[in-house]
Amino acid sequence: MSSSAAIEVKDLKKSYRNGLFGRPFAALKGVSFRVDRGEIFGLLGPNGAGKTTLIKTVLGIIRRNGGDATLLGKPAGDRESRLRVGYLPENLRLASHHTALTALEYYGRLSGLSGSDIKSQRWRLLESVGLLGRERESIKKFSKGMLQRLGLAQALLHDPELLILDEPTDGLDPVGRSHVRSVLHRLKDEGKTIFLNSHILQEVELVCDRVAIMDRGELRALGSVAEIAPQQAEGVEVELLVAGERDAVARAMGDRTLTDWQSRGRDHKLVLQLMDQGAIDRCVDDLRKQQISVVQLNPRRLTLEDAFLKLLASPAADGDTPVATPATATARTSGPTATVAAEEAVDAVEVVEDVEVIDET
Amino acid sequence: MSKYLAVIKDSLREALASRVLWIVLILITFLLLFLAPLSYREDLTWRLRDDDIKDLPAFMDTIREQSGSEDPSPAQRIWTLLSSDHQADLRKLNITDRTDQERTQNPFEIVRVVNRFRDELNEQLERRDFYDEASFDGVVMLSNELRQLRDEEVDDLTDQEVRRLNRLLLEASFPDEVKTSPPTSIQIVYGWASVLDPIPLRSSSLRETVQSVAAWVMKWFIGAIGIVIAILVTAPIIPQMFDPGSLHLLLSKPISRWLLFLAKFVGGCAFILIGATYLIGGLWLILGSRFGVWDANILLSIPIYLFVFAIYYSVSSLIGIVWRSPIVCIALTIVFWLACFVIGLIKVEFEARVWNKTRLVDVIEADETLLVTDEMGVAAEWDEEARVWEPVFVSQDQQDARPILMFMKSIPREFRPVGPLFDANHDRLVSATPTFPPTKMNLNVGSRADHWEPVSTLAAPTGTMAMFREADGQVLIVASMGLHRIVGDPTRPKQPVKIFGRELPFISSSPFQTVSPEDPVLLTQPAMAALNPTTHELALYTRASVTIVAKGADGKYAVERRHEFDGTEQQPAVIGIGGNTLVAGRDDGRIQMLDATTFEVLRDEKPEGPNQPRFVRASPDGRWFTIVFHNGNLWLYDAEADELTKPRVAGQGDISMAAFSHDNRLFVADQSVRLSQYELPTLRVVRRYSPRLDWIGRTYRYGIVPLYYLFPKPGELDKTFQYLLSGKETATGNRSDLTATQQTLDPWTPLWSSALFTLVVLTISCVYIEWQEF
Repeated sequence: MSSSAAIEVKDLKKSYRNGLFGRPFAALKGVSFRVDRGEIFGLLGPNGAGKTTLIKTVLGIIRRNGGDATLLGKPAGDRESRLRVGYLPENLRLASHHTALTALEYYGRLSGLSGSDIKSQRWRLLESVGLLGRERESIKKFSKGMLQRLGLAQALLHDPELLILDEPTDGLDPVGRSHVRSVLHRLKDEGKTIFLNSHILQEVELVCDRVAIMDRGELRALGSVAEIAPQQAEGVEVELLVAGERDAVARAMGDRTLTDWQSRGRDHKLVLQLMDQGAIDRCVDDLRKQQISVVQLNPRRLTLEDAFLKLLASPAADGDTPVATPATATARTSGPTATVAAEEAVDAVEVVEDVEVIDET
Repeated sequence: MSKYLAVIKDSLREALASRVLWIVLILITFLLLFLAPLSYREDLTWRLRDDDIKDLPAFMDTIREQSGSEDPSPAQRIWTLLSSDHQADLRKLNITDRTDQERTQNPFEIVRVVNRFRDELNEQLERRDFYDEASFDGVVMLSNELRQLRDEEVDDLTDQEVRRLNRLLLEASFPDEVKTSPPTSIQIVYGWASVLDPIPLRSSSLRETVQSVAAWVMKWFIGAIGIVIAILVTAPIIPQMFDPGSLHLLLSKPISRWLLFLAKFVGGCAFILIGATYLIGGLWLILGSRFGVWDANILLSIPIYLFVFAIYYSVSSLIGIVWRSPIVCIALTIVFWLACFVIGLIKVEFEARVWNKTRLVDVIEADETLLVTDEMGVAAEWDEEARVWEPVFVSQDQQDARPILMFMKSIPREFRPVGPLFDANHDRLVSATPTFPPTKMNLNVGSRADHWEPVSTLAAPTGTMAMFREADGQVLIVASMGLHRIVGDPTRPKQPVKIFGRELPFISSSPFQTVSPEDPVLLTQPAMAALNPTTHELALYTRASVTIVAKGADGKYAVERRHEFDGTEQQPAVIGIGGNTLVAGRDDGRIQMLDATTFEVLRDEKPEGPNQPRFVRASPDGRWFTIVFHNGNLWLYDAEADELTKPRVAGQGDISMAAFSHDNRLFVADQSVRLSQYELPTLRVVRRYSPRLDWIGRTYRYGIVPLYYLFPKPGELDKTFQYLLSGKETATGNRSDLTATQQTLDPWTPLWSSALFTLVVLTISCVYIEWQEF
């Protein structure tokens, strides 16, 4: 494995068992990807996709059943690499006897900092996460957003090379989210690597350089937002506001499939899926032929969310087929033989049809 | 390491932020403030407590009966000073002669009269005119304190001294009925007010009493209630750590999991350390400042309490990491606490009430037959075929008392039989067994021809305390009031004396011949007697003095010489005499070897520290002495070589008895019922009597003991504490009787077994947390 990667996982597998004699179920089914230093990498997926399991495996909190994982060039779980990682877990809970100052002191110590280092760092960090002035209050009085920001501060306290943030904006109000986003951008500017785990798509879309989408223990897509979204588009969705007789509109549409048609007198709002610009032109021509006035035409761009939903709606990829090979990463469902070096990867992101559906709860 | 110190520091911080801790600290403060005014005052002992007169109804009847005599006597003096209506009550209510049915018909009346009698007697003790020379003329005044007070003019005495004089007169007048009391009592004072009755205790014994109370408080107040509170308070600490939002952050840090767990564990213990230090430190200050007991060892209960807590907390922590629920932690830990408590209790109680009762305490050679007696005084003969000790010579009194005695941890002196003694002249066993209830003693005689079946016809002399075989084989009975020899047939009832065919009133023939010295030796407690098997002199110990009496030509005994021991009259001792050596075991653990003629102290040492000796016995040739200590250790004194050694015999630490055979061989009893015979001085085993285990033995050895060793013993660490305070491996129950059984403290077993258990549980927890996925 390359030592330049911040995180690199290859064919990573993890399964859990319910009780001693329960049936095992696979939480990670051979996941491979790589996060380069200095990038903000987003891991997307619905609840239960295996995102947190992936993070816990990389951090060494749980043991893997197969494959390889490295963290800052060291095997997953290595204590030295964990010293250089800042981690904000999902649903962070801090013991209620702490104030912001004592919490930072405690977690700073656990991260190997000396008392003087903690003292020199914590005020700056508290200011940067907007908690200055509240530092001596019991955290019992903190809102969820304040706690998340304190969690972010503790993750940053020992100036880590890599930040792993599991749902950092979960439960935050828009202002709080914006604040976290600005912190992330600032960290990126400072050259930090950020691994962001979220199911809030807009969040990832706004801050991440690259994105991986996971579902049911498998990696379904990997690439930049711009790369992933168009891949999912099968044409363009168009919204038309037209004026004319209803029958005339129906004749003009012919056998085109409308996803929506709302009418108020002679005004109609139509939503339909068209393959390309030529199809749009032909549709407008047909409307004009029927003496229908085209009041407004809005082509709608496919967002990451659309791509995400579409991707999850499609069946999962076959276990032995590579799914995505972006410019700097390799993504596969399983099988070590399918590994492709980053340099050799193609630009496009592919999504592979799945043949296996896992009953994951 | 600083990472783990941070975890411990965080736990302390958590403790200080805990509302529960502050509530507990406030409650402790209230308790300490409540106890702070408690103090004591030392008064002269005079008032009669409920148990100071052994059988009050019988004593009342004695007073009434003797009041009719025309000669002045202490009883008549008491009777005279009673109010006339109470005299009428006593005349009307002849309690001891009443039938059981009559007693039950009017129990309240009896209780009223008895209480009134005690109250009036206490009022008499306050009177300056209680002492009347004529009335107390015949009373033998052995006590130096009494003689000194009597020699003073009553007007020169303070009120307290007069009361003390009157109390001592009462004790001297009725030595068998009224218990002897220490010169001073402890009066507990709260602020300025006296609370409770004075406790008959010397201030020098206060420290020992405080140690016992401290151990009791340690066991029940801190060890039980405190531990339950501590379990409740700390139960959430470990489960809280497993909250995913908290745990994953911790586990992502560059720290070791098992050390993190141990640091959390230590942090939880630190939580309790704060409360325990405050409470025990506060109690120590109160004991020091108010009672003058500045015993730094009391502070040892802080680490012991912490250790007890650590045992439970290790279990609570293991439950916490497996189930991650504070409620499950509390429930299962309390179940575990109960299990430990019950198993410890079963073992201790079974040992004290069943197992130890069968321990051998004496051996009797009846020619070729070997007999032993156990703690309950039951004799048993060795059955070689069945390999058991077969009970023989069990009197009806013993059978009646047995169910009650089984419930008693230590058999009180009043219930202990004297003997049996083998009367070789008549090939029979003789013993004196107390009736039930113990108002008198019956003499039992059982001949070999009748398979030792006891015949109980006569009452033994009042206050019978020992029996010996004289040089000519006659049986000598040592009683508190004198020495008696059995000369007649003790199996025949008393016969009226007839002169010219007419029965003389109040006179009957008795098989007992009084052979007391002219100058009588009254044996008031603490007392004991020993026969010199070499010279057949008798050593009588009472109230810190020993008198050697010897049989004269007329068959009566005469005082040869007397020796006053150091210490107070209340200090008990055990003695053995052989050849020209007298060995005295003192209650402070000292063993003194004296020249039996000059009483020169040849040796004075504490071979077992403060542990008290229980039996001292001399060999027939007067060369060897065995000293058995309450902690089960045996020491052997060779008077010829003047060597005191701890012999290499089986069962050291578990020895209940050591005696000598007629041919100077050594008998040693251990393992409750095993008897071994050794040759001296080689200590070669001549014979071993190892009986088969009965159901009691099997239950104990294969059921109770393994379970006991498997479980930790947090409920018994108070014994370790008590040992650390006193230095003694047994707990003194009866301060005036060294031969009474004492509870074995076994201070180190609970410690190592609990430490091992805790270590195992913590190791399991560490392995679990290291391998479990969270």
